[in-house]
Amino acid sequence: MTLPRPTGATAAAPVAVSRGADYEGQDDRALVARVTEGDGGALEALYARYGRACYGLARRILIDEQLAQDAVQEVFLTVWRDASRFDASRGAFSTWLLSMTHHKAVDSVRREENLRKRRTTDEALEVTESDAPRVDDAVWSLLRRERVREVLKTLPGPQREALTLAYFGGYTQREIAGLTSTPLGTVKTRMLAGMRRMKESLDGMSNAAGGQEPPDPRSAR
Amino acid sequence: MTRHDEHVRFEELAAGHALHALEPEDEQLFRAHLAGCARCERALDEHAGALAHLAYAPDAAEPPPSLLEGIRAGVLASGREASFPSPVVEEQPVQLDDVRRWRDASRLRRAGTLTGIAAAAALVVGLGVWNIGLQQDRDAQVEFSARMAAAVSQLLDEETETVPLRGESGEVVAVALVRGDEMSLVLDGLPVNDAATTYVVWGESSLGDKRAVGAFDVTTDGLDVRDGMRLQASVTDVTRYLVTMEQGDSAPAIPTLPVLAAGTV
Repeated sequence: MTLPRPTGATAAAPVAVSRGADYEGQDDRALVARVTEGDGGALEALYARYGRACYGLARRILIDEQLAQDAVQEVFLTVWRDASRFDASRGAFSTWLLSMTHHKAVDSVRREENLRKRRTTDEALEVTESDAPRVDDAVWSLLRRERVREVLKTLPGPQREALTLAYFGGYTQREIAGLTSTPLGTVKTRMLAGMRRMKESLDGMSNAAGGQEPPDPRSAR
Repeated sequence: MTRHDEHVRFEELAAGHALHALEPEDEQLFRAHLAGCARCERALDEHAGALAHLAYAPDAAEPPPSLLEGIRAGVLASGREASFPSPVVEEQPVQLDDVRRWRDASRLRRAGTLTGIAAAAALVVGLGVWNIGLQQDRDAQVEFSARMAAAVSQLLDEETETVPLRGESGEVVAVALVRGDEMSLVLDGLPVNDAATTYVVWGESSLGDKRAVGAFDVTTDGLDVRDGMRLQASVTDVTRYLVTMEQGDSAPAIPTLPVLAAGTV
């Protein structure tokens, strides 16, 4: 009996290979534009710039490394599928990317009720504790981290608590009110006050990695 | 309540929205307001900028290599045309140990070997494009990646049945992906065969009848895929798939023992 031998000719995703691509000197917007044109290397370049920050944030929120990995993977695949959703007039690419990462991680932590139950208020607040810096940290990243931590420390305790429980703990305002035995209206006020104070303290800091991105357009307003 | 007081309420909601911390009813209220409020839209952009800084407060964490590999695999399996730069780094060919390490680290392993192998195939889709050592020339490399993408596409399809085929030692050496009458094989450890022989995959019915599904060669020790095989109309009620090695380049009427790998549907 003679059987047709497999040819392996089918392809779900046509793959072409572009040559001589150089991403290093390109700012984020240029890379995003290339991603919209189907340039997988540009997506990888964006990952090289921000993958670590996204993963660090997701892992902080989710604790579980695999869930964090899933969240970040989903974020970058969203960028791949729909990079045109990024609106440069509204802020830096990294802002959009990290905001997406935060949302996905919080959605995930809310789905994982068991995971949330393991979390304590203290865990969500641990970010102000400085560990020894990793030797392979980029300098800008290290400086930014220390600066943000310093700013967090300067916030009044209740404001810091409300912000960090929401941002790193994934708690809703009502949950925070319950956790801290505080009226819901007070939690809302503290969050707004904390956000404003943090913004004032951090104004002027670039949101881009290694100066790869032009200044945030909001700073010119 | 004055107009100013009224808007302060939305400013508070804007902060909660940026933090993804609003209750559903507040979220709904804020979204309805946001549609016509440039002030709140601007506030949101500012909050997002401040929160992007906050994202850097945790200690930096090195993402595992499997994260980028997963993204690459997702890109290639997305069905959208993708281009990639020429690989310039001196990477090593895909090694089975690398794949196994990655597979071991994958959460997919929790679901069992089936999905572990599926994940391994997905990994190779990602590695294929970058891996200059895997193929002698780029055209072959691209073709290999495309075939892997097709296999992964099948894996992601809920209608695809995935059957691990285990060798004598119990280790999975191939995975059959069956969708309707089409079959692909993800190869993961069958020895390379010589020109005088061929591998044949057989479908066995509940009554023990065996019919050849396809013949294939194994040309690399690493992961590979063979697709384009079709189950014959007479191959129905398959309860088991078998792999044998046969002389020549076609399948005999009945399989030659020993069975090198087998898997139950």
